[in-house]
Amino acid sequence: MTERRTRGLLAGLLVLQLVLLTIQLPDPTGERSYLEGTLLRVVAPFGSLVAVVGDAADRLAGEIASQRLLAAENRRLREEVQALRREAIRRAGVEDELRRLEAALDYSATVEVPVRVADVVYIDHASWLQTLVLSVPAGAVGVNQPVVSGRGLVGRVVVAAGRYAKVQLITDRAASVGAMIQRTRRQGLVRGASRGGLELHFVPLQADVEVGDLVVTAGIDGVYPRGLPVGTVVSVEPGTELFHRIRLTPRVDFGVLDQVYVLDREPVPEEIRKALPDARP
Amino acid sequence: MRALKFALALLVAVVLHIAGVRLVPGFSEGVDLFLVVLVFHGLDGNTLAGVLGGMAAGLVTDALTGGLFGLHGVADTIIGYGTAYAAQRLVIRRANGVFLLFALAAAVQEVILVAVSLLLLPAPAMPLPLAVVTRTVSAGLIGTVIFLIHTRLRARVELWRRTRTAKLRFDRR
Repeated sequence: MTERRTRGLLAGLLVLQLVLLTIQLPDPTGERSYLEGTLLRVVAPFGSLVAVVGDAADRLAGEIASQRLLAAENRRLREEVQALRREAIRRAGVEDELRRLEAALDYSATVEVPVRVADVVYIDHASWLQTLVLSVPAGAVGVNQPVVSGRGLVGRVVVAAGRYAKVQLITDRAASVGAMIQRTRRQGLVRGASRGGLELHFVPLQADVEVGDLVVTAGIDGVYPRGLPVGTVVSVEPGTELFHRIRLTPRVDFGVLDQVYVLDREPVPEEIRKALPDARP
Repeated sequence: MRALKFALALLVAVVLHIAGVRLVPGFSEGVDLFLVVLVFHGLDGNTLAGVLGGMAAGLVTDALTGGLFGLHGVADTIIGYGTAYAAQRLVIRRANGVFLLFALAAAVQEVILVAVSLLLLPAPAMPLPLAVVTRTVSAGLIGTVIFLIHTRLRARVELWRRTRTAKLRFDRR
């Protein structure tokens, strides 16, 4: 191929890719490209491979090291079991009390969301283009499903391709979560900030916010259910004329994630979709 | 054959990248193995292979990173072409020249990524200056080391071939 034709190809490919980029812009929360899903299918198995080999090496090293610690561990666990039994008895009493009070108030707060366990095959939370890839049963996970860990909210699925799903972390600059301060129920919008932090936006200056306040999902964005821990307030500064500048630290330590839970959510009823065509998901 | 070698090198880069991210937090911020593979591929001076290889390497990187899909695709397509174009016009054989080429490619890649992000996104995430410097230097170092090892291996293989041919000729007599 002549140099001129190669330049033409270069220009063509660049235009094609820029079009691909632009297509993603109007609806960054919606479905991503087929090509991205296909490439994820090809690349993600290597993540599984590395994870399997790494886990096996970790287990082997752990088993060798744990032989020496087993006796002490056993003793400590026995003591812990005793303490937990005492705690369970105390909690049973508290639960009874709670049920009695709920019955008195005629209130029930049980919200059960089916969860699906997913293995983390690849996570890069440190770089400026953060990502998380999960291994899930084929077809079991869809776009926009919330992903949580035992500590709190992790993010949402943005690409589901075969046995793999790509997750947008809540610390991503492009991510936003409808959230509220648990203590005061004041609502705002959590967005990813620099260096893996979070910021809570649109909380008015007159609102009561304190360092240490827990921020949870508000359930107002149509993606995340209410009450999932998002982060803890670490600083409150006067921001613009109207709003606080609130920094949060995520509840989840993304560096230690090896397994997460994907929440199965009921799809938004068709009547509501029709009534609110611009609403998402 | 070259395309197959490139694909294999890209696969090795994928595995090493994933293992690196798993073992060292912040690995992807400091090292871009896909870029190293791409620049090494471009050193042949074939611009068409550079363009196609650049797009492949970029899209594989995009599949493994967050953000817009195609961001690295655009950057690496330009890098692939630029590297091959430079290799056509310059004789790059000394270690410092190779280091400069790899480092320059990494720096240009960062500039393109930031420029395209600023062009398309309202509030894009930006890489830290220290991370940019680390990626640039690491690309230069890794690229130079691989280039030197490759050159020496080729020389040895060549030497072995020549001596083998000489022996065969001697045996015939």
